[in-house]
Amino acid sequence: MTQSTLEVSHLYTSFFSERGEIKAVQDVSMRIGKGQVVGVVGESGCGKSMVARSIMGLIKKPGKIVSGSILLDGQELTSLGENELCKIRGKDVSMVFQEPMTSLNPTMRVGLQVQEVVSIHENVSKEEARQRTLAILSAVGIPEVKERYNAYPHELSGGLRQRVMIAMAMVMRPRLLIADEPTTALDATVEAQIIALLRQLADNGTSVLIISHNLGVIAQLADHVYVMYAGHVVESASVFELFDNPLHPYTLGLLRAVSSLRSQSKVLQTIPGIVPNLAHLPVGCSFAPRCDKCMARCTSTQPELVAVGSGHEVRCHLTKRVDAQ
Amino acid sequence: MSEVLLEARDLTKKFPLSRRRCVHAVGGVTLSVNAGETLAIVGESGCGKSTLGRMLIGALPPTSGEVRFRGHTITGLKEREFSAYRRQLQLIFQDPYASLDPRMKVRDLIAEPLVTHRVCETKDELTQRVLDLMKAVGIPADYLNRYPHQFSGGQRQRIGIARAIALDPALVVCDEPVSALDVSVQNQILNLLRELQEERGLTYVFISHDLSVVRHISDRICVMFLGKVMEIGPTEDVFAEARHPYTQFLLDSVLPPDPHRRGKSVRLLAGEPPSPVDPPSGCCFRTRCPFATELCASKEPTLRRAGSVEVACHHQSQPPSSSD
Amino acid sequence: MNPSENMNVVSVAEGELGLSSPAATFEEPASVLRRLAKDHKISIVSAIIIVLFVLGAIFAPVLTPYEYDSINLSDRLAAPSLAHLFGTDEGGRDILTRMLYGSRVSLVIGIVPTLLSVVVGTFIGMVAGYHGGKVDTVIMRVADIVMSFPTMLLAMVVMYTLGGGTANVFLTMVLVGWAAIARVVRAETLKLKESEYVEAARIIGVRQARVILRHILPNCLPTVIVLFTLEIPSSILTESSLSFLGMGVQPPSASWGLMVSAGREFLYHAPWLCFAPCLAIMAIVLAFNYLGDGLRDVLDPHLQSQ
Repeated sequence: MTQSTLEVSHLYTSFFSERGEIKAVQDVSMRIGKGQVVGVVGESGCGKSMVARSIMGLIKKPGKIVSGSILLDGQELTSLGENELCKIRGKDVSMVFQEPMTSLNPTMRVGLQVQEVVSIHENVSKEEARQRTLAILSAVGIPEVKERYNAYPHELSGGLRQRVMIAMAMVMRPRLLIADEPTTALDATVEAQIIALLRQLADNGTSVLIISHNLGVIAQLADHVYVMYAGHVVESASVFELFDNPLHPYTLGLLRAVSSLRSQSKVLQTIPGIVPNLAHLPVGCSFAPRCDKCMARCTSTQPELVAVGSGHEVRCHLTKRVDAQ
Repeated sequence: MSEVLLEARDLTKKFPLSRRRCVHAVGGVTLSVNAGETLAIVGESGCGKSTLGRMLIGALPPTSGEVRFRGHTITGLKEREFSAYRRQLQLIFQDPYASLDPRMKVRDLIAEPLVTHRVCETKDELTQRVLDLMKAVGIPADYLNRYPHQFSGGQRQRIGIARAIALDPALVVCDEPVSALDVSVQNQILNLLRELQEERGLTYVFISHDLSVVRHISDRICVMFLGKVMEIGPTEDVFAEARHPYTQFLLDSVLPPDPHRRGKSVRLLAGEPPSPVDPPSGCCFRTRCPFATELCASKEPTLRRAGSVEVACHHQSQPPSSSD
Repeated sequence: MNPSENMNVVSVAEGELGLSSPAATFEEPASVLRRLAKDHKISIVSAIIIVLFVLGAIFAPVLTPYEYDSINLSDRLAAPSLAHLFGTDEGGRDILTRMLYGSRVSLVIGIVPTLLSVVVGTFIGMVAGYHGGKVDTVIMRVADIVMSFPTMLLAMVVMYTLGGGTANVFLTMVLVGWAAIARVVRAETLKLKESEYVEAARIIGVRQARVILRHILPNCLPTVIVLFTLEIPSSILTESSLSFLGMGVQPPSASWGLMVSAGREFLYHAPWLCFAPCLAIMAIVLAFNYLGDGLRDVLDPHLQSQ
């Protein structure tokens, strides 16, 4: 087994509001090996972004990590203070957000924004920081770097801005890059380019955590996939295993919904009902109200995550029964 | 061939930036929409598809050109003259969060078009119509007095659809109606749109950037780039054999949700998108096109028929091989 | 356009949890009160103080045994005592009594012209914002001129040409007050005009006047309410200043500003003359300010997420 860059175990993150505790992340464990691309897929409100923010130490009040551990190359992140986290953020772990326009400072030249990251984390001369910035900008596929270095964010296209964001995230050669819906705001032709770039980064040894609702992005990029629903990981498997042999009814429903769109059928497959509100989660399995295989047990007991094969885990009462037989 | 419901002739829209410069959002689009069909308009952000959609229903005046509905010009009409057409031409918005007034109840939101056009005589009749519409789009009747923020995105989009069909329009422009929704909800809305089309004989202009959605829902497809039509034709034919290089790139960039087909078909488009403020001479796609020649820079290609489709490309008679 | 383009990271994250939806702008009055009570206790205290002042003004004759204008020279400049809680002035009139009666003038002048300014300003602001073009330019230039004109100078011009008195104080304050409100409402209208639900209403065929009444006005209202509470103190202060300068309410009527003005002669040997009305002005101004701040936090979705 390869050594893991990130190891998250039994992570619980909650938000405490006047309406009570909102459990955004519940019992999430995941592992990312060196140079591995791990995908987290789920719909809005499933807690996938909260996992990323927990790892980055970016959970703001009234939210907090309730329990669990996050190990980055063996170092525990949950017990670190804000100052220590700042040293790690951007240097060892960095993050790319969905919207490249609002994540860049509109009044600052993009080159300087990338260069700033270098000078914050390392005591280097201006010239060296500039050289490294130019190198990373061309490494992420930005043409005519010398001119682009002096451009303001609004002068760049959406695709180029996302490349600048990736350059900012990659300039310190972090061990882990978290990409939260990095292509959702981009056009299809640009999306393909960014996916290719992320793949290339992973091939060079960076571990990547990619968060997306788009099964196409996950299928094209991830090695291992975690499917999240209402704060829980409901299924995890290697990408081939997951797409070839999905076991959780939710995963099945998602894949059917996407594939029926590509078939000739007039009526599309859907998952009935709506995504549950995290403030009012049902007792038992949170997917039970939408599940076509729901049994009496599903509405009373929360299923456990059980291993069904090498690296394949499912959180469903049905699988447990199959497994036991 | 069925009757032509809506025709656009040489529609152009320029948004001025300053005295000399302007954004060429839509440049000379001519197309027709047949009654009962779904015409998809696809293209990437900034290609002018939303602007075109709004001009088609008279929500935005074109800089030049005209729109004809059932043979009558609806461009340049006064508000009073236009109001008869207003009921026939409706729009479904992309963002179900922004397009519903947060301070109105579902009852009032759905009643608004009916009240505006004085469709109902009595209050009871109005309530009944609202309830019928809610039933048609799948919103439970007991949610009548709720506010939009109490609904999920999918349910809000249902409310938006109820508002759009309340006046029994002939044509509805759907502006990315499912792109803000979750995968599992997206198909529910697409099924609903199809059902409503069959029940009410609606004609759709379906604006989207998602080719798999478009392939499912549309009869014909119109591919736009930088405000111009690149290719237009029956959806099946365009997907089977794209004639225009841009259409080919667009089709190739779809990421298949299948890890076994990884990296195979991804052909990357070179260069950066041209600016709509200062579009290239000749063919607007030539700066990114691998097949561009001098002819493409000097002369703008017009739409020419090639079998069942129409293509705006100088080289479409010898389509570049897409086997590589 | 991507729907989340305008949301910042925080709101995306919270939106995902359903903590604050973009439509959280909508509030029932009862829920506004509940949230004020929870997060802004000081504004509830402020509201209570304001209510007490209003009750005091209404029930002044019941609350005090004295007349506000009965001169009693034997009791001149008496220090605070059980008989006269805040002492008496140079005419031997009970200061508490004069303050209670004075609060009628001060509160009415604080609230009525402000309300008029808000109504006028909101209307003008919405018309300018929705119409745009030349109408907008002309209205806004006039507003700029009004706002750049020194308030006191304008007040003096009005008072000297039309004479003093309550009605003219009202007039002056509305003449000055509408401009600031109109500016804010115009900006709000410009934003709302571009919103998708206003476009949606127009596509349905809703006419202009109805769009303004049904969609723009209700969505401006939280801003307007906040502006209203925040403008009241400045009106009270303006009235005080005018009366202090002798251009407002004329004696023997009482107003807080007038009382401070009269008391300043005796500041050294009878400081209570100024002390009590100053305290009242401070208390009511602070109360309205805190209430306004609280309402702003509760009603404004942008500040909510912080």
